[in-house]
Amino acid sequence: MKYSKYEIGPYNLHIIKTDKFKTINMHIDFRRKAIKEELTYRRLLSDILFESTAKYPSQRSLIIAKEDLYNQKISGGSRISGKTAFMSFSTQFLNEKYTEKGMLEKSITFFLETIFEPDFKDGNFRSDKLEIVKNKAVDSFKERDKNPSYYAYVKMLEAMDPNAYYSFVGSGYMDDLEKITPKSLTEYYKKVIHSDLIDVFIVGDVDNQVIKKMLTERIPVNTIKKQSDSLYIEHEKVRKRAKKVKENFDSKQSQLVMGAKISKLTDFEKNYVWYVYNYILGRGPDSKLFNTVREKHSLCYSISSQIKILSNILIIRAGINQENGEKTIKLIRKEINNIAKGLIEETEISNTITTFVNSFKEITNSPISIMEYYIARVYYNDDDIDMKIANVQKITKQMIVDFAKKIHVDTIFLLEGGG
Amino acid sequence: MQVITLNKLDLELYHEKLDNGLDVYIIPKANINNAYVTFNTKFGSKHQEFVPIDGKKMIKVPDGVAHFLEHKLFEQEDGTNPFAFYAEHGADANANTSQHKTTYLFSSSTDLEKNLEFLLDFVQKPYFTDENVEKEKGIIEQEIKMYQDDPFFTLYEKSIYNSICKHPIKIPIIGTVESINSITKEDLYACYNTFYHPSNMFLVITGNVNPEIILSVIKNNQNKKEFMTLKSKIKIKDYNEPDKVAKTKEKISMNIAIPKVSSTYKINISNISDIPRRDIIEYILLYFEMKFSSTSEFNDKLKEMHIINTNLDYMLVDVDTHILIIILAETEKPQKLLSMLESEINEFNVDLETFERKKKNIISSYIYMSDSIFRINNWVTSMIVREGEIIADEYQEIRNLSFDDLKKIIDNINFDNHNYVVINPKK
Repeated sequence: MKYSKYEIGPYNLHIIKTDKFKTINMHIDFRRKAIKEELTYRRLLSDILFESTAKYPSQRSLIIAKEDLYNQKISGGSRISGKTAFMSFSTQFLNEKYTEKGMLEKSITFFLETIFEPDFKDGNFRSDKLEIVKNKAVDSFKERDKNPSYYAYVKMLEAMDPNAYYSFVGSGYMDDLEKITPKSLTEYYKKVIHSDLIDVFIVGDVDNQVIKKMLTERIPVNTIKKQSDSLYIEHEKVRKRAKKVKENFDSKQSQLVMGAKISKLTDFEKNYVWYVYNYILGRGPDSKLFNTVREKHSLCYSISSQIKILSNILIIRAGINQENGEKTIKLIRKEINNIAKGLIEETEISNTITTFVNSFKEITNSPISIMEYYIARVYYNDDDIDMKIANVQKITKQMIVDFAKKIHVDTIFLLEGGG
Repeated sequence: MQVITLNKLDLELYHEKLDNGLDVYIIPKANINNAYVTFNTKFGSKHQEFVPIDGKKMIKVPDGVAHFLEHKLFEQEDGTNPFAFYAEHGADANANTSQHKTTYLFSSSTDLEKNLEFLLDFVQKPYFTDENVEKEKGIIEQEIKMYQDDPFFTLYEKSIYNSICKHPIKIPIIGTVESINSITKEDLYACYNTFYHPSNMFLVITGNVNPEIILSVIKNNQNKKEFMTLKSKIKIKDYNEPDKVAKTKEKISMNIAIPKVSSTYKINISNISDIPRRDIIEYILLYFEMKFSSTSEFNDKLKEMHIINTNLDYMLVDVDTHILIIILAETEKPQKLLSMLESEINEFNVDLETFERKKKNIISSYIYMSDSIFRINNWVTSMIVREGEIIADEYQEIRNLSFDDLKKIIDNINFDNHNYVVINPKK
């Protein structure tokens, strides 16, 4: 496996050459500092580009074309991570050794056409296509507010701080739809192409020079961009007492979402200790929350903790019966406090470290995990695999206890169902 | 060991049936550093009425027993927590239950032999008590409620329930709050002793492994254990499922924004043709793919008429003598969509070019699959459950599918046995 980076200027090209797989995998990120009012534009853009292209006038013809290319897979979407808004496109196709000569060029051309050769009419996106993606967006916005798990998650983040980046919804907002016109969407598309940071990643058995040439000929971007400021959200204030919010919902199950802020972390804590802590608390199948809340007290089926590293937030989610809300919160708080008091077994730490060491070793087993690994290396200066393995093994109980003391439960949101 | 070359996949499959009846399938894959192991029993939610291994009379167990049993096997008499064991040995473990089978699994890049032995040991050492059975009920109740809040899951379950008259596939895999509350440790042991006998189970190992070494680890482990003697094949009730659907329509309401619709076609595949069952299913799936997927003219027409915004979806449910094809959609115009579907289904307006493109798609999917030890394992596992044997050259079988046979099969199908379910938003 060999990594090469080419700073083309308007974009960076990262090629990870490996002959392990029968597929070629390609991923393009467009990213810029998130602005709430732009998120709906980004969502509609990532949808409309897959609705039709200059060459394929309908989604149906586009899908038929990808089937003709030996079932090439394409996907796209928008999201927010920390302070950064992403619009990403991915494709996977078979290496032409397993299909027919010339397919590499055809597949790359097809993928890049969806992004860079949109279906314009009189210089703008077609209004009928915009209407289609707007209708889809309306349906999904209405539906997501009826999903108790999603709704509780978003509401907890809003209750934490409605103006913070972490409470922005990457998939956009209903209220912003109306003002988006073919002209304004086209202007935003041009802005993205010419001023977003662009990174292209390719994993597979390819010839670097051939790929470089193909992309140079097919990516019509010529403006140079620079990396923006820090990617991390730091918390100025933390609540002394957690804010509690309750809301009724028409669902069978209640949803509990707890959010904690974490401040003043060292890089080592951010990159290693936090992951180990989270796994012990509520990420692993043998976690403290799983064993206490589910196995010992039979209060839930699903309970987990997750980290939003760029936002410095820890989130715990559980599906429970309404009457068990307070009891569950108390048990979760107790487990959080216990770790800060040092009530962790050495075996819990060593087992977790073993799990991480193995997961690092297994990165090279799939093209997608290789891609994700290099994306994290490029964007967040993540360590290489050997360094990751060495560093995670340095973690001690004291480091986890010190980290646990930096956690402040900030907001507790209980969506009460039970109908 | 029998060695089978899997055409076009660059893979070889090693198979051996052990003396106790356990089938072992090993597919080595070089240039990766991990392995994925599944230990499967041909026992799922559909196996509800049977003669226990030590009995003479047919018994009926409560709905949701197979899934409940899957949860409870993680409870060990000596207090060992399988998840803790696997964490200590660098493995990811899990389990799942379907209508047809139950699977216990792990993947790891280290300690493969220890992890494999532990899998065999914990699955083959049940420990059910009144207390630990009781404890699980609250957990599974929450799992049931989680699914009940999912409208598409509800639509799927209702569609099956209303399509089937007698067969226990009718019942949700997980059971109901009432049924799981009635489960006892005796129910679990009756199912365990009968269906977890090695002769009803199989292991599938995919990854960077040496077949000889792995097989000897398995053999040594199994030789140390004693199993009940099976007097005959497990007797499972035959339901003689009618061709008609149980209920033709149902409307329910949930806390949703956009109405959701399913249209289910119940097809008896036991009397359509003398070609293999799997080919019949493949032809029917191809027909639905051509007529109702995102590349179909019909799907496009629905979008143009503003009946749907997102593409139609469809899924297959295998009910032994029958299959169900469930078409799912989100629409503000449920009745219009349903009437259009009804008139569309019998129109054989598909062409050879589309048929060949869809075949090419399936063939490409095989090659994609061969890059992943997880997908290869799932493919083998479902083939064993579905076919009872390895089909070494599925690639060629797909290539051999003909448009003429498709027409013959479809001409013989009666699409009149169908129903619909509509979920409307609550007012």
